[in-house]
Amino acid sequence: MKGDFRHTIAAHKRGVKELYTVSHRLFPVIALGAVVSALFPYVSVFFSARILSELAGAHRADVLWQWVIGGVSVIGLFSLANAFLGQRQETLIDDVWGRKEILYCRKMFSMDYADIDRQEIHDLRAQITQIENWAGWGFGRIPYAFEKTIRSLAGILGGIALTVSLFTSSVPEDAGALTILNNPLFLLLFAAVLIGVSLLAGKFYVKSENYLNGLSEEATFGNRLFSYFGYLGFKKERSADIRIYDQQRIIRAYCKESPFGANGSFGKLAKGPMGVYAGLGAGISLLITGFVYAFTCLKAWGGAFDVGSITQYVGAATAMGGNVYALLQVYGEMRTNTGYMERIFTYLDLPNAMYQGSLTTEKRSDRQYEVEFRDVSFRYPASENWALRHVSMKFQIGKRLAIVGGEWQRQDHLYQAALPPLRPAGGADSPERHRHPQIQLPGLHGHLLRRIPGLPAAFSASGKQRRGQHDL
Amino acid sequence: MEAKTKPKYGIAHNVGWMIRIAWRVRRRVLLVCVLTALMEILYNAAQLYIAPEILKAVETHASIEALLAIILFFTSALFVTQGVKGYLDTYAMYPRIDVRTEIIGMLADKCNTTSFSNTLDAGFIRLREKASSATNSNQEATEYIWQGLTNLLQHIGGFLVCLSILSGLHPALTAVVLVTCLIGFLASRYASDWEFEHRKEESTYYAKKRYIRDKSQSVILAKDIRIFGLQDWLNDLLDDVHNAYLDWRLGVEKKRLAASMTEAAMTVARNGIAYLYLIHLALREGISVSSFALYFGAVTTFSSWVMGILNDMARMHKDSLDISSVREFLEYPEPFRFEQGEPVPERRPNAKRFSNAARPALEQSEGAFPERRPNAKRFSNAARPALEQSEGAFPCAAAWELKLEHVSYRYPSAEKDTLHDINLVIHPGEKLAIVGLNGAGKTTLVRLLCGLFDPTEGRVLLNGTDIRTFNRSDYYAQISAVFQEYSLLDVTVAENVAMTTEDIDIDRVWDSLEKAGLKKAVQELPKGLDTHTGRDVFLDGVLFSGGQTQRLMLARALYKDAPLLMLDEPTAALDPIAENDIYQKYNDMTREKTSVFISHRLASTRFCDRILFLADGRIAEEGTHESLLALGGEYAKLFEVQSRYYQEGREF
Repeated sequence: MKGDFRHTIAAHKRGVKELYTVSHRLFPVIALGAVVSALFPYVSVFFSARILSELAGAHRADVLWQWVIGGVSVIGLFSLANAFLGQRQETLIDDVWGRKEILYCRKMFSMDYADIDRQEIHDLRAQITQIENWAGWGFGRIPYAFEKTIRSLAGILGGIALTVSLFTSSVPEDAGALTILNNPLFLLLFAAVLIGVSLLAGKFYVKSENYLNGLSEEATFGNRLFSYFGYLGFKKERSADIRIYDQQRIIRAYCKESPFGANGSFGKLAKGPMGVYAGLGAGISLLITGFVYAFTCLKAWGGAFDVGSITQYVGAATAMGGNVYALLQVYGEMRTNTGYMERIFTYLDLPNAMYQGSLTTEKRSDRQYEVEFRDVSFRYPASENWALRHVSMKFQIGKRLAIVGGEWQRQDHLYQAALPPLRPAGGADSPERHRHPQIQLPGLHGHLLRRIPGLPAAFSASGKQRRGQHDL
Repeated sequence: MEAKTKPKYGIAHNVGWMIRIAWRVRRRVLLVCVLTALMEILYNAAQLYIAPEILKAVETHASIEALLAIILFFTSALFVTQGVKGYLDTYAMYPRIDVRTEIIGMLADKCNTTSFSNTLDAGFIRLREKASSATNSNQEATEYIWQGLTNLLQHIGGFLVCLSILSGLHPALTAVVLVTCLIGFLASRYASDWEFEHRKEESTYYAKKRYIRDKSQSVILAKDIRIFGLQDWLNDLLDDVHNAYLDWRLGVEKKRLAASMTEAAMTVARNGIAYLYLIHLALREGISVSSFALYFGAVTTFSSWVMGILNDMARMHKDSLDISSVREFLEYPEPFRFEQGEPVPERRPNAKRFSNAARPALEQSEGAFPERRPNAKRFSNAARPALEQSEGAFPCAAAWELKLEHVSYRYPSAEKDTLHDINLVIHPGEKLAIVGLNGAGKTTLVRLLCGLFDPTEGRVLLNGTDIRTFNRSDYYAQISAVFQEYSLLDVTVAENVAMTTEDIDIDRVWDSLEKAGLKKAVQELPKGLDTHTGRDVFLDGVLFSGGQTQRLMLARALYKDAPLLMLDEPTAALDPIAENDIYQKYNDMTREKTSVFISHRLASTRFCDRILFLADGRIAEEGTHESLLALGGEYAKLFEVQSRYYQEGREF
């Protein structure tokens, strides 16, 4: 599931593009909201620091009121903007979530029947659903990763803006040994600690996540197990058999195979290394707080700036460290998500050979259509056995043809090959489509056929709606 | 808008119920809740005091060593509390999942073992859906309750810490914080309530989208969709449903936005008032910068604790409603008896054959074959010799006799009876065929015999005892059945036949498969009996054809070897040769059993001792194949219609 940096960015870039096509407003709103929420804490920190500085220093009442009124107003505006953009974002994400499902459905509807008939396609589609249901991987992570990235970057820039004066303010010469803190190397040390601790915290976090990633197949299996066995009784058609054969016994036995739970694979890892690394990742980032306090307070103790500014520098630097950590965290998640996105793209990129033709089927008023099989053979992909072999026949207009045979004689393949949802695997000249590869199949279906025997389409549409679907 | 119904259980009751389940299944859930809350309280306390204490040290020009010691102390506290919390947050989910899966298991138990009539009950189904939605993700009530409790403990702890700090200030400040928090909370509660009241609309959209999504993946429908060009219509439908959902969602956004704006305004007011008061204190009474920072920090976090407690209670109220639905579902009344019912008596090991010698005694005790419809033909003595000749007079070692006494059945909400005043005796070891047109009541009759329904009038008796007195599960154990709608599980072939995962008699499985004509097909599978039948869970499973599945169901019925055998169209998916194979084996399959065979194909009735022809919910005709043909009634007409296409020289 890992991808390198370029691969990860490329996968998510495509994800953003796909989502942008269904919602143009989503990413601008997310970006704006991310910037506002990133800067919000800095605004509070800045105004609080000014008030504390004034209290610690000149103690002027009019200046204090100005800072209070200004601060409360600006924070109020930021709060309102945050609230508005937050709600907008939620609605847009909801919209995109629904449209993403529509994208998947459209893809399914557009596929050639031969692909629909393949179990691999359904397995792939089921995996995508399971991926998205389990911790919201796939497309669901894209807006989240985008928001977190923008917020982290904005937070880092905001933090830098508020901490510049931490390094430009000098400890007076009469502070003695503390003047060493004026050395520019401390800036490098500061940056190194910030980035180093964040990297270390991020590394622990990624290490913890990797345990989870290694169990993704088990997780999707567990979800399948529960989705299936946990809800069998909901299906009315099973109710009689479940009781007559006491199927609850076997259902109960299978449910015990779940990998989730405290004693399952996940629980054991969480109790052990996965939990430990997560704990270390969460704890280590706070060492930045201690370092920043030490550096800042020593400089303030030496007289470089007032007491009030300490809260500004500590608040900004701590937030900045948190944003560096968040940036690394989101990259780790994107790396994990890359593998899931690839599965989704595999599904979306499935070629549709069915709709390649450019010739339309002639619509005849005398309805004198003719379909002929010439030496047609068919077998399923990856199967050694032929379902149909060297079949040659002509469907005569006006005649009624019966196709009979014993069980497993594949008479259904014969008529399906005529329709043709199935693609013949051989034959010199197969039905119309093969002789005229440019014919558009939907048109062919529409003109030739009224009904497929066997199971009817079970849509809950009115008869009028159903009849209205086709006009021969 | 749905009418509000009062839940049966309150918050405290439901929390207690969840705690009892956790105590039984996974006690560490509770320990993790408490520890996590404690770590968070300590972390927030450290966050609250770190800045004021350090500022005080700088203000008062404490020694550098003292300053660094304070910084080290608080940094260590933050590191330890966050580290432990990070560990607990990672681990917490898994024991919680254990508790949720236990509840899912309880729901599945109820679903799968409840009285069959409940499965048709609209109230039961509605409650089941509500109960199931409370268990289907980590964010639902049966798992989120633990996070909710953790948050509540943490917020109460933080509230108390902040309250102790603020107690040194004017109580009006605390009151302002409480009032502004309450207003903000009520605004967001209004939005949540509105959303909850319109939840049904949301569910409708989700149901429609889910329906179309499921149809898009259906292999069965895929052909029709392409042949009839339904793609565009379905795509348009999807778009329409989604757009309608979006309109609803915009309504939700407006309500939530109003609530968020109100909360933001309250935050501004609260902070403004707190600043005003504290600056007044600083200017008038000269409180230190560190004290100012401590008090302001306490006001800010106090408000977040109060909002937290209010939101936690709101969330717990919602979760409690969902948990109440779960409990009400689990306690849904059972019309059938199970543990309270009588056990089905043991079959008599030396049960008498239903022989000619026994016949007079039987006729005396049962009143011969009681009269049914006035024109219904009796299973007459004239027909008897022919029957006895063909079947050796009901060869039987089983002791079960089924009797229907004035049985009628009407489906819920139906206007008329599906079956009306049925009187029927099925003798031990008898092979009974039930035929009739669609809607005659054949399947309903079989379901009554199987004890899946209770008659709306009359009684079903097993050896003279009303089956309603029995433990219904015990009664089901006496029946092997192949229904038209069946439950094939995504388990192995062997497990599907034996209906267990333990102590499978493999020889018996093979024998059953052979009798059902499926042995060769299973032998050819790469994993043989260990092959999974289906790909819903195990992706390497196989999908059997309709005919193969029907044979598998037959093998299952044979493996169970129960004394009562019910077959409802068991050969519908088989070709004539395969069907004939089953008929040839029918005597063998039904040896020493009482069997009922429903079929549209009248050829099958040739292998039965007696035929019932149902029409309009009543027994219209009764007899052997020959006697019914001789009668020239509806049965004869049906037979003639079926056979005409096979006769040479007939014109249509």
